[in-house]
Amino acid sequence: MKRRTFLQRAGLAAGGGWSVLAADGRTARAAPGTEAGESAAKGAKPVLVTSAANNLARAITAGLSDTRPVRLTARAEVHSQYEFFRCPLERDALTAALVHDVGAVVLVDEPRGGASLEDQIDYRTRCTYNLLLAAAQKGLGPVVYLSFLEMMTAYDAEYDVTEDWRPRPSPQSAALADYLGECVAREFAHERKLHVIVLRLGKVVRAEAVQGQPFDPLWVDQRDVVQAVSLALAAEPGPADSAAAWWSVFHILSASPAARFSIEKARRDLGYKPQFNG
Amino acid sequence: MKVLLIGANGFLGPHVVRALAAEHELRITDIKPPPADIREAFQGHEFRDVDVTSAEQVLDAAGGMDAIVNLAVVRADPVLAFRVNTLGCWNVMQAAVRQGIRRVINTGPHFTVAGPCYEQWDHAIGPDVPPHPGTHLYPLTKSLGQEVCRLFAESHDVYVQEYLFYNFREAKELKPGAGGVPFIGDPVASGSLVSPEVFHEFCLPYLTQLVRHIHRHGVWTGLHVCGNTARIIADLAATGADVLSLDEVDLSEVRRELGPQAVLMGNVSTELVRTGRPGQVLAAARACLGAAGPRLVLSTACDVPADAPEENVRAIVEAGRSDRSDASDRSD
Repeated sequence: MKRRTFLQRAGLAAGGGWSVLAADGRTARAAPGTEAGESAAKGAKPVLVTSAANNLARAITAGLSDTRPVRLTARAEVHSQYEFFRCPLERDALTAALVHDVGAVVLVDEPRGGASLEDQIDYRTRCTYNLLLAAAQKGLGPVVYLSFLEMMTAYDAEYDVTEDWRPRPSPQSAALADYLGECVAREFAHERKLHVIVLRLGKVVRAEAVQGQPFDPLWVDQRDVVQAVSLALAAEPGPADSAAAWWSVFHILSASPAARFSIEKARRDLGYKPQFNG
Repeated sequence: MKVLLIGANGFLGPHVVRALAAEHELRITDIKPPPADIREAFQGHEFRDVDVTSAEQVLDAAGGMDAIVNLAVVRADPVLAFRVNTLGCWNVMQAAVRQGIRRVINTGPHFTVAGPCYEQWDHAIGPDVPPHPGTHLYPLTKSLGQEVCRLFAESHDVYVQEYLFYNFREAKELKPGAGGVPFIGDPVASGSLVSPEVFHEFCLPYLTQLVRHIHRHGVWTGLHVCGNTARIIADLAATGADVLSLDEVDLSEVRRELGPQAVLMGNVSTELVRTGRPGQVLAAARACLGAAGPRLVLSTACDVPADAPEENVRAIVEAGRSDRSDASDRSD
């Protein structure tokens, strides 16, 4: 049976391969489903994806697994067809072992249903800290931290808010946890030279599931998020003397003219091309 | 005013209690019992067990209060540091909002703002710079807590003051021979930046005031001015500082100018300590000892760089110890 390509698996195309173009137009890596792509996958270190119980984590894992090995982790046991390593993300040998042989990390938040805000803050700060500490000690990277654009919505919608604006999360919402996690990651980028890419996501949906509903300017399709993650993992750090050398933030939404925030920086610097635009 | 003190039975808390007790009604709380002398001396105030990591306990303790002073801190525990320093602040601010308290004082070390990224590369860091606490557990978790406080202050009618401290010492530790000498650091007053005339008019009077203030407490003080201070050595001595910490100057020239009784400090090149080899640092340290003679506190020219190799720092120590051994031999 012919192996499905990334596009087919993601429901984006009926056939053919695809390739990621770097910012200068050169092909960044071999297309999946090709011999070169499979060879690259065999030699690549696994990407660690956290919060395996999160649907987004699973979608990211499925999307990445064509081109490289993936390892899932979570604090509680999760059944998965992919390699799974249960780890409570404490500051201990288990967390060190979790990242011992990985090449990159995707930090996904845990499912929020039922979790108190205190627990969310604890996970996004303390557990992020422990994982990044282990990652920095191993010298691995990049680290893709999935955050959310809710922290930017306190600004009036009339403003053209970009990634350079200061986040304004409500201190009584999950956005606070996401923001504090960004702060933790930022310090590892600055001091430990860990390559951290923050992707601030809108409301993650599947286009089919919201069809017929009034358009929400914060919608972003799950498959486009997977694309953004894949692009971020392929991104290189900036020039050593630039402010963006080790730390960069991108807003990830649909390309709809009605989208709440501009995705221009992600388009320009990552090559992000959302496919589901309302 | 009714004031809730959280974490009041640690190092700083008893001093705060003593300072506030005469004018305010205090609710003195901590997970540890208060010092016996505090409980005895301030029986008219309320003592309560409160764990800052418990939102319910903090909320209850804040009932009826007009202000909260958060002194809670954990420095090294990888779990409690987050729960106390970060989540604790969230509990305090939640309680303030829900109880209608509009005044909160939160506390932390100065390096919740200025971590290694600043301290390696900048001087005169003020509290208004974007915080970069670095990745050490204590400053980072405290910095996150401060960020929580700031966000609450922006979105609610709460006035928060953040107090960023340097190094605490008990008053009794600040006596001569106690081992600690308060230092005045003035990084922008050096000849590398300002003329001797500017120093004389705008720096000397105020540095002298500071030295006199410290002396009134019966302790020594040191004075450090970064950079090239060759043209203001006499002025530095005129401040009355007991120890002059020197950066980019020739110690032998300073010794000639100030005489054998002046206590000097320095001045192994900071850059050499950071990037040189231990043998080079050892040689440089010995050269300082030779240039300054007795009454030299052997040290780096400026702060010890955070990323200085340990062996280079040890080289300075070795130079000092071997010099002391030589002096002992000579005295025999």
